[in-house]
Amino acid sequence: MDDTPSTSRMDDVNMDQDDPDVHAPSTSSSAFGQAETGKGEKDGEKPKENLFECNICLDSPNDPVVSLCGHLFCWPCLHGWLEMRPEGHQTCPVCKAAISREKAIPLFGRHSKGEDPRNKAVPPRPQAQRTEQTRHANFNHNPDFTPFGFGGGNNGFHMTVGFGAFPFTFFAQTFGLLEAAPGHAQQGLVSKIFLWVAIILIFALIFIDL
Amino acid sequence: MSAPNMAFNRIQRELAEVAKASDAEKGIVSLEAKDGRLDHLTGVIKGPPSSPYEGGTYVLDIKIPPEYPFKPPEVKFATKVWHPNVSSVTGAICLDILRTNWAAAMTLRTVMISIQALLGSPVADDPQDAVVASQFKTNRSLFDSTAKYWATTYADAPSEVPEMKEKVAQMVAMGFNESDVRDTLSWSGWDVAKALEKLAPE
Repeated sequence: MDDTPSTSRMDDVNMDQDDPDVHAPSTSSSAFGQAETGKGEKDGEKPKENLFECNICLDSPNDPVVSLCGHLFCWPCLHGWLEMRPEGHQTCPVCKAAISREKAIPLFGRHSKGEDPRNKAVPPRPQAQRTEQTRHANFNHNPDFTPFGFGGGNNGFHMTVGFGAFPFTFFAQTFGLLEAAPGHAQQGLVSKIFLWVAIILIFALIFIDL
Repeated sequence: MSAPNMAFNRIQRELAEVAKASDAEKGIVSLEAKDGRLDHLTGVIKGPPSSPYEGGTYVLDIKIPPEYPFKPPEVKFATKVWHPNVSSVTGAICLDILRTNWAAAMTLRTVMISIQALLGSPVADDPQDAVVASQFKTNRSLFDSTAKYWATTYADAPSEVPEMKEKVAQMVAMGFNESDVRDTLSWSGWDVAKALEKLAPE
């Protein structure tokens, strides 16, 4: 394979710059300086490498991740370190701040390849966190009006039924109208339990009437 | 076998870094692979200034586990040291970063600097050698001169401790092995009668 795969991708962008290392993340001024001094050391030394070395293998990072305390690692290296420690006692190898798999943030440079790190022997680095904009919980419906059995838009299933509503909820459940949201196995279990409770109550009502 | 490879790559980088850095004034003299093997190294540090170890040259025996740097290196003194946190018999070192407080970002360079710092500031409450630690607590001046005597004898420190040298010579003249005499006299607080009792119990 090609030793410098990024070079071909760089060609159309950096026609006039013959140093493929220019795309290293750095401020524009230092990148400029590097472009000037970097000529002729394409393969050998990278003058900036010590700024972005993995804190564990001391090499330039492979699948870089950064801890919340700001320390840079290869994901395989950090994973190896986390594996050695019991969960809950995992500390940053540099500053000993609390750290965990969930708190490591992957870094994607501009020219990072779209390769899936999961193809490697080490588990994938953690996913990037994209927190959705917060929405108002009751944006779509009036919280005061909760139709029998159908209530609670956010929670999927509310047990707000009175006696009179039983047959209705019962049928609704039986015919899958109140199907729990996909992936919410727990809610499925809950609705099954309520189904049995409803059946027992109905029988109880019948026998009380008799 | 990716783990030992990683250990070896890192050791190579660390060796280059120590060779490049000007740590000489900080007390690291050298770090070398033993017989070209990257899992067994020899480090040399200087005794810290204004301590009984000043001017001494201490050799450290460093073994690299295959899990390095996820597990700490095994470091002990190859040079005999009189210090509360170093075994006077085996050279084993009691230092938290070599055990539970190890972190993968530490290097052999930082370990050697820490060991040098430990020489300069003993922690008697967490002893490796109980005899030395109790002497350090109860008779500080005797501790200092014993440490100095050991530094002179084993680590080529320039200072002399004539009265201890005399006692050793006196007992060697009685036919005892010199290093046994040094150890026994040190362990019995330089009490010749006590040392004699231990060396020749009758």
